[in-house]
Amino acid sequence: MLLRIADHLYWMGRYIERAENTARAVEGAYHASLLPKGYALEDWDSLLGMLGLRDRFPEPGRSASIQELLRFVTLDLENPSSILSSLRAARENGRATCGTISLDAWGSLNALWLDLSEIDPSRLISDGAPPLLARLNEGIQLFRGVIQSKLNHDEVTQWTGLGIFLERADYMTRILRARCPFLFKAAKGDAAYYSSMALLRWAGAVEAYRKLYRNGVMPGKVIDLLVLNEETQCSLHACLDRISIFLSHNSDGMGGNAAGVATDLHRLFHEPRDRDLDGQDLSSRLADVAVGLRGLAEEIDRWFQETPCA
Amino acid sequence: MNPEQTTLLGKTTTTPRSRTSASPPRPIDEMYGPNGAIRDHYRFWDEGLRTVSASQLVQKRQEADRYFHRQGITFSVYGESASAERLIPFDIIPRIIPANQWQTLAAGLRQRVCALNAFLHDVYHQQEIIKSGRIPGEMVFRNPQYRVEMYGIPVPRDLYVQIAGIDLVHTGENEFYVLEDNLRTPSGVSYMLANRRIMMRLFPEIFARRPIAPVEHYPNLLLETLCSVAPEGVRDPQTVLLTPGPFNSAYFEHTFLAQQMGIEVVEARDLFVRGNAVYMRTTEGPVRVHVIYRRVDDDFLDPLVFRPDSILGVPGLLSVYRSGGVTLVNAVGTGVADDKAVYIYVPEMIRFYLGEEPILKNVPTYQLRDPGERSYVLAHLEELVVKEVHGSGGYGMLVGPASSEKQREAFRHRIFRNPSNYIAQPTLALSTCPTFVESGIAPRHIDLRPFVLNGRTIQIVPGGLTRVALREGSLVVNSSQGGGTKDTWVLED
Repeated sequence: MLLRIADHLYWMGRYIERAENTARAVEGAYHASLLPKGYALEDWDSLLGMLGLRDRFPEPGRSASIQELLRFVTLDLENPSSILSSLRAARENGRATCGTISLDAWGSLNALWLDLSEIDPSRLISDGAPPLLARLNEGIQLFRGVIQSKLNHDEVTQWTGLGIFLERADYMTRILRARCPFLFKAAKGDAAYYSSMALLRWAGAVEAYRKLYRNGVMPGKVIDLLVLNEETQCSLHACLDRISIFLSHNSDGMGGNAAGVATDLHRLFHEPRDRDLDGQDLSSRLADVAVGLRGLAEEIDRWFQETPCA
Repeated sequence: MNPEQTTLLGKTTTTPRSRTSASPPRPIDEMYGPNGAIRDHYRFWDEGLRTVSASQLVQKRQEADRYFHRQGITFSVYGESASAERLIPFDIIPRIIPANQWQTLAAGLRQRVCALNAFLHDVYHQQEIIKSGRIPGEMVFRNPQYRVEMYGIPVPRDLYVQIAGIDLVHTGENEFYVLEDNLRTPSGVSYMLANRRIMMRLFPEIFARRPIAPVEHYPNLLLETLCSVAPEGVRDPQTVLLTPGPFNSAYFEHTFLAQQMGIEVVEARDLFVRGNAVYMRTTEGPVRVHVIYRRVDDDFLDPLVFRPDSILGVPGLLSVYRSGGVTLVNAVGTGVADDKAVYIYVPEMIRFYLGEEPILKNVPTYQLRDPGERSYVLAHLEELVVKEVHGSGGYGMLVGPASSEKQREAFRHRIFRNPSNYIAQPTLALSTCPTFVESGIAPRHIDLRPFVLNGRTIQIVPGGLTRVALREGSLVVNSSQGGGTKDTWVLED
């Protein structure tokens, strides 16, 4: 596969995942905003913080309406991290690879972009966020399905997957760092349930949790699932696992640096522990992961840019 | 200009020099005969359409628009913002060509491409046609499209033009003219394929009524053609399509064709030269490339030889090409055979190289570098179409009958400044074809661009791209100037 195409696939994966993650975060915040006060631990401001958008929101400090905020994080093309901006970037990268991902896959991505870009932002006021998020979710699932069904070689899936899992790892780190302090504080009762559910919703892991843990929703188990569990694709550990395996298989081409960084990162989760993760321990590990992920992304970019000739 | 040629206009009995009326001859209509009756070859379409209700027809048109939009079959227009993508309007009423008419056209196209190729080989080798005095040497050697770097360089199978798009107009009952030859990087074939795909989806029952020659094997023939000119000794050539990138107006076409052929679409940065070979950068290391179907103009191919500021080219590419390490399709330097000044000599090329009379006619053309012809043209601008010699895409062109005095005045100044840069032609009566417009169905002018593939043999997929001028009375069919497209059906019986 052309190196440039691999680069586009990697970024397409990242942007698709970013759009999906932002949508989940918005959905979680939207859902929480409909609960009575006292149940809803998240507010829109913490959503902006988690997405790294607090400084970018117009007129920081001014209390904005929910509709303004919704438009900003979903449809505002001036905001490079909005769902629509991520989708646009995914589409541009997809367009450059449409000969590789198949015209059907490209068509489904393009159709999703067209549908979402034609949404009148005023409908966010009348209809709320759910219809938009549902269309996004449906479109992305369709796109992933078409890619899977069309290709019998897995190079496309692998390069797209590298982007997806790196982005997912970054997102998981962000939400865990943003939400875990609340989770450890509210270890029991309704507050613990709602905090845990909010985090699961942000992670898109509600169903996975219910399947794996039979004894109700508990903060410790939620952390276990989202951080350490190796069986589901939604844990930070599993994401790093996938990245590490892919890069070690491609380490010849990748020049070793990226693979090394990924292995070091992954090792963080295999270090022997004599006790369960507590809040402080987790927080410091997540800080290390955040730094490590940034370094890994830089290594991968460097590799794509400094394309070897021989 | 040869005065006898003026009679080729069909509706004109006097020469253009003596014509005083500015009104062009009355065009024929593809679907309706002179008496208003439906032509035989359109009957099955008309009968099929009668079974479709008006509301179904509206739905079908919407479905076509949706299909093109969703597939991203768009193009960018130069001068508009980089991100602007426009849909080429598609009209669901096909242009239908009867079998016998197509046979003549196909024979004419073969003949023309054969002669053009022979001309290119000649001007880059023996230059017999110039020595014989049939074409003035200055037309060739002073032409900026003549690439002296190609002189004496052998190319596989002596082929320069593997892909040609020849623009034809239908002006009389059995009368077609070649409007221009496109021998560099002709585009539009993806629309031909997409148009057929959507028409088969919208009107399956009409396709069942009469055998319509299929076109979807074009990419297969194209790949066969590309592989046929691989460097000597290469049995299983690695073929790629070189695109300027996603912002090029024909980018959809590049990716579509490559996808259909199963080859990579590469940009210049994907390729590099090492030794006497071109390689592409892949995830598994460098891979040797043998044939490049380039959709990048000569000027931008290699910054070491042509434009040094080109970022679309590959440094060193021409050197490998010249020594036979890679084949470029079409060859470098084909532009010398397709500009509007050399066009005048194509009938002469056919006689000179093939010893045959041209099957397809040339439009009578005035060369403005000639003082006599220039003064005639300047006095009759309102009747004529004036074009830049190297122009394309409908840019830099004056359609006299549709122009204002101010536009004509501006063109007069441009002609005075650089007369050799212009040619003029009578306003042709381009045929019309019923077309959906806002007010209903109305006749609109059309042309036809068949695509000729030249490899082991010359192959032509029946039909081509029909372009339609959507504005009432307009003769400019280019998509950048508001033109649309139609599916082109060649009947098999």
